[in-house]
Amino acid sequence: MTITPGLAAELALLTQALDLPDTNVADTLTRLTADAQAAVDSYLGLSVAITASQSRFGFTVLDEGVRPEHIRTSLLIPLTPAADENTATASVALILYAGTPGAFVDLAADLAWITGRASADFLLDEHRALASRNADPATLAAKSIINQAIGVLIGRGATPEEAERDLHERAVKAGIDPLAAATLILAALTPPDPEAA
Amino acid sequence: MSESDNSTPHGVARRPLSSERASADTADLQNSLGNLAGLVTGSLGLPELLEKVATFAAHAIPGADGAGVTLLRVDRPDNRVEALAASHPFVSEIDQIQYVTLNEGPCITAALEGRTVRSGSLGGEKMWPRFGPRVGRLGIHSALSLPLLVPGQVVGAINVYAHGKDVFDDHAAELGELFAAPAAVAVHNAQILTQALALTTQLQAALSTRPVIDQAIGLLRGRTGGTAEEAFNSLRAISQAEHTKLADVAQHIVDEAVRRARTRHTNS
Repeated sequence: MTITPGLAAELALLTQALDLPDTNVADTLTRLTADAQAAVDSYLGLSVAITASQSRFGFTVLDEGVRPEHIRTSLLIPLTPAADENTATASVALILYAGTPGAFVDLAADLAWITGRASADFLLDEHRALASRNADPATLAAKSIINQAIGVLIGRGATPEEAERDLHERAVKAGIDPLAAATLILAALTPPDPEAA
Repeated sequence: MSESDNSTPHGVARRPLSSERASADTADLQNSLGNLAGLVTGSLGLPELLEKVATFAAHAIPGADGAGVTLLRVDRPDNRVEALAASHPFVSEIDQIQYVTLNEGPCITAALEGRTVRSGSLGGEKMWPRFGPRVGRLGIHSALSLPLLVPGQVVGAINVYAHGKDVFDDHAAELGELFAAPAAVAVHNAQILTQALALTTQLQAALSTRPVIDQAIGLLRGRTGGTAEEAFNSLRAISQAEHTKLADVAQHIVDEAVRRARTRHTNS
């Protein structure tokens, strides 16, 4: 499995947000991949697409040397993680890919049996074409910078709505995108002058 | 130790099997296999499923006083073994000795080598010179370990123990292997589902909380002029000092700032 540096950075951001000892999202992904490889001989990779709290995030990880045209079969596993007080209900799609037609037939049947869901919920071969990397063009790192800038503006007395509007107006005025405007806001921060205190 | 063949070291005798015992054993096995099938319809989590598998194994295998299930971490190069379920407390005690204290014993051999192993006299067992005598002193003298095999791969093992000597004969090993085959599939598929749920649950939680954490980082950076890392460390320090989740600390900081902003707007 190849985790690109970009994806590794995003998974690190998510792991940091969890702030749970012994929990690393990249490790969980590695374990899932290892289990799927053990279950299906011709396993090639997987895609995850998740939407939670209006944030969309998705990625595909393929085994080394695998190209999209090697994919001959796919299995969509429907998952609905339980939400708690801190987490919004999410929509999740996990798709496994393999190189041998029919490779997922047994696994799909077993998973339907395990979960008590209808076999038809486990979609075979409907997602053989890889989705684009991320339906949302803004990366998590970019969103992180934009949200930090909004936090700066809230700290200066703006409501969240005003902060978002302010950021947008700065971007339009300077002819740059919101990420660049947010970066400028953060770059302009300076430690308070101790003599002014 | 012996493999599950016709050899009978340590005096593990091939006892003639009475028809009554054979049919009783078969009934126990059928019952346990039926329970195993029932497991997968119940949408159990992996730990609960493993505990049930351990309990059913103890019922299915003649002479067993307790059983445990261990899994291999197939994502790690060292294939580390994890003890994850036990039918009885004494099995947990043995697993602790096997996996934590000594890193030696029948289940480790069965899982790493992918073959059935058994011993009828653990106290004198040469294959595990530290593990055998130690559990022998606990009054456990017989062990049968069955690998959990899926095509081309060992995913773990079932450990079965008995207090008496020479309890597990060829017949017990055969029944154990019959039980272990479907158990391996149930366990492995549950493992995939558990990992998939773990990943998506982590992603869901992190995506839900990352925006407010970033806004709180921005608020702190605006006050201090520090870096994002320094601000995050401040949040974490508050979280640890107040025994409050990081996301809740961040939410509180943002809520307070927003409240002040709205109050100023109302008063202006």
